[in-house]
Amino acid sequence: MNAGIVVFTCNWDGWSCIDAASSAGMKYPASVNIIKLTCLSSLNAGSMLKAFELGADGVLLLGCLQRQCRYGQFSGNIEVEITKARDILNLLGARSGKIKLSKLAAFDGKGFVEQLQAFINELTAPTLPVKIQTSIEKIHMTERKIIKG
Amino acid sequence: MAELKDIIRQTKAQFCLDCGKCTAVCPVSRFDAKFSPRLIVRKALRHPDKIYADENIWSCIGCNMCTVRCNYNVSYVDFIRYLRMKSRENGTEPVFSHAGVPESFMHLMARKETKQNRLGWIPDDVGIDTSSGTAFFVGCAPYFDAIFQDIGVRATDSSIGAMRLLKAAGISCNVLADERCCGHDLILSGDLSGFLDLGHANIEEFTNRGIKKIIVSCPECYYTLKVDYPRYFNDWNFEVCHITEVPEISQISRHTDANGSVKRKVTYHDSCKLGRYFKMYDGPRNLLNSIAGVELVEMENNRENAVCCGASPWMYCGSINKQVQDERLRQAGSTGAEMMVTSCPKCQIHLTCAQKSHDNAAEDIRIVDMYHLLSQSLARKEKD
Repeated sequence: MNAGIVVFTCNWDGWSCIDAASSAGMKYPASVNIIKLTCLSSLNAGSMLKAFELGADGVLLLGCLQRQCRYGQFSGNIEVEITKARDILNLLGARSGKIKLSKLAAFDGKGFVEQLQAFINELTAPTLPVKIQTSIEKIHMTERKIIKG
Repeated sequence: MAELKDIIRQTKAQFCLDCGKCTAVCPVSRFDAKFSPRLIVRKALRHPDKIYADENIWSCIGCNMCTVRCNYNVSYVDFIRYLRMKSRENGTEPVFSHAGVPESFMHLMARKETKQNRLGWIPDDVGIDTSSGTAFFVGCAPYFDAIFQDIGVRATDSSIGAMRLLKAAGISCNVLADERCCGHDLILSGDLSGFLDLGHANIEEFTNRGIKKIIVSCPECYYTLKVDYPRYFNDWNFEVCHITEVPEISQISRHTDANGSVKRKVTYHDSCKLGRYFKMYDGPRNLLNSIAGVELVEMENNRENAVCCGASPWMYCGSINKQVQDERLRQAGSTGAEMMVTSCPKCQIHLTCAQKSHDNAAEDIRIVDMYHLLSQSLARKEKD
């Protein structure tokens, strides 16, 4: 099963990568939803959390390289918003989802698909089924008790 | 959900005489000519089909000033809350402030599979007793820390302060690892199903941990656990008590009376829930007065006339709300006090936000949490 991913991309280099990937006929899972914005700096923590609230497992943010922003000086706003959203997700526990920021050069279709696939692998691979995980936690708990006792 | 006619009876809306006292005291009506509690009741009674689409039902900040003044005790806030629930049932989406972050994390928290990681803020010296049948209810404070780091408010300082006070009073409490938000803001913004999900999850957590008594410091959590939970959940049988009601707390603070050399002028901002809803005016004031060297001065509007901090359930925060907040800050500034003390983390957040967002009369006054201040005086006493 593929992880549900929401990609927020800027209108410029981020979008050009996706465009290049589709023009070259590259494939990525159908569970990826792409939302285009004018600039990543206009995105806030609320929209990222809303994606998780609506069932996404991961949010990928696709923007221009640091000095390539079409709207002048890079504001750093997105980093602040990512920190807020990550802090909230951290409080909500490990299973609540992940956010990844990637900045790519224009028309790097291959880079986009690779980044996306790596993110999907990261989201799907390490999680053990819930039952096994809880039983491992129980073993740890009993071990601790034995050591303490 | 109940019918409109039942709600009219429950909230005594049929007694509304159109006298206009509610409008005269309403802080929102003062700046927004379109809004009036009595007009909402009148519109709802005359055109029940149109009222759910009326945008004015979203302007109320729930400060309860209207009900305190009303000769017939009409509960306008409950009435408007019901209209909001119906309106959302019909598909209306309110405009959330802070980009909808609070609403989203409340919904994510309400999920059954959520296993939170929310106790990281508790310092080592404040131990928690996991076997205790008494719980200290923290609420959303750790989440507020994550969102409001840029305006410099740390809501967990309030919780840490309250826990230090409880420890000094010799009361051992548990702090639950999977406690949820109380749901105050969801129900006030009309999201009944979200509120019920949070409530069920909380009751399950309290029952699993063997909790009998819950001590609360946040006034809104206190109102929700004390008034709304018994109303909506049949299986609610926990004792709820506010921290200022705990007799041992007032006793410890009396010890700090001793050496008061530095005079500090402070003013106390009554939160709507603790003040007008529960009429707890003297408890917090007595606690503040017991701190060595504190001189308590009152603002122009205090006790049941206190002006609300201006924004309640994280939605529709706009120019009207800012004007209400500015008025409150101006009142605080004109007392000449060094600190404005709040007993509610949300009052602290809203007022600090207004203070930082533009120039106003009270840019020098420090907005401080009451429990944080009380616990600091405690620490100084121990050092002496």
